[in-house]
Amino acid sequence: MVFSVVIFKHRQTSENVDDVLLEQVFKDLMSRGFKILERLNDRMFIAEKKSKYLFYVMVEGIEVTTQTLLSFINMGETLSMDTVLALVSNDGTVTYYFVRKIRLPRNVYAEGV
Amino acid sequence: MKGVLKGLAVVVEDVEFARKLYKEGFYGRFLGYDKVRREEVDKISAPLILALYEALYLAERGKLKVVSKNGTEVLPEKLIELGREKIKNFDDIYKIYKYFRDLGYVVKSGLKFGALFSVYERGPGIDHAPMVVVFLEPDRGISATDITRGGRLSHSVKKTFTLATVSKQTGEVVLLGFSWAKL
Repeated sequence: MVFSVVIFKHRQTSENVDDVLLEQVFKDLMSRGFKILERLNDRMFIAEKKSKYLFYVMVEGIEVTTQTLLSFINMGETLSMDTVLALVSNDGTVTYYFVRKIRLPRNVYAEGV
Repeated sequence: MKGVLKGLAVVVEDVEFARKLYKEGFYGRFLGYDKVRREEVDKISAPLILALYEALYLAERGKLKVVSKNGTEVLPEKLIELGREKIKNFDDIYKIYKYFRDLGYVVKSGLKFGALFSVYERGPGIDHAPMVVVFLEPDRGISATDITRGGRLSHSVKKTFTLATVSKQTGEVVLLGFSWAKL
């Protein structure tokens, strides 16, 4: 009985739990000399160090659809900014990956068919 | 121009034809050899084993006639049927195979990299770092773990890897490139 109440409470505050993880990303970036310029939504923001980057936060265990990822990349292309995924572990460690859409050219080394 | 379907692969016994296929775009693998260089091909007299994707691709282009053990022709449609029956996501995966091949890339198994395909510009044994291509099931989302796992698959220090999927809306092959960012 007590247990289920705890779970219920946890669920209610899950938004805040998420925010703590998001906060870790901001802290980490600031420690690396970034300035947070603009928050576009609860997952996406623009930060700057030498140049501007568009960030998307992915929390461990939370899936995003391919479509979501693609629209993030498209937005980066529109804004002419490199797109960075900030991967946050469930305890707040952050790892960064660049992501881009690849448009492959015809292989110049292709052998005669 | 013949290859015999044996289970999920096709065997080319004719040595001359096997050499030709291999030289044309590194199709298949010579039984008992790995990463054979183009200039070494003429010294090799071994059957060539083609993966189902390769055999299907070549058969669709009229470059290979696949036959069953009793000699009757196995049409591309039959190969597709077999693939669908045995291999998960066969249609999407073949589409991705075709996408790279049509652009002139050499596509090999990705198994030893823990991936779907390894893709080369010049060929195995020549390119030092193939493009490691991981398949993303269209219905599935993507998670942070998928991305770091992909990073672990590639040899390069920059940890570059490619995720390939087929868009549900357009049916197009979508390639996403990921690389570790030292910010």
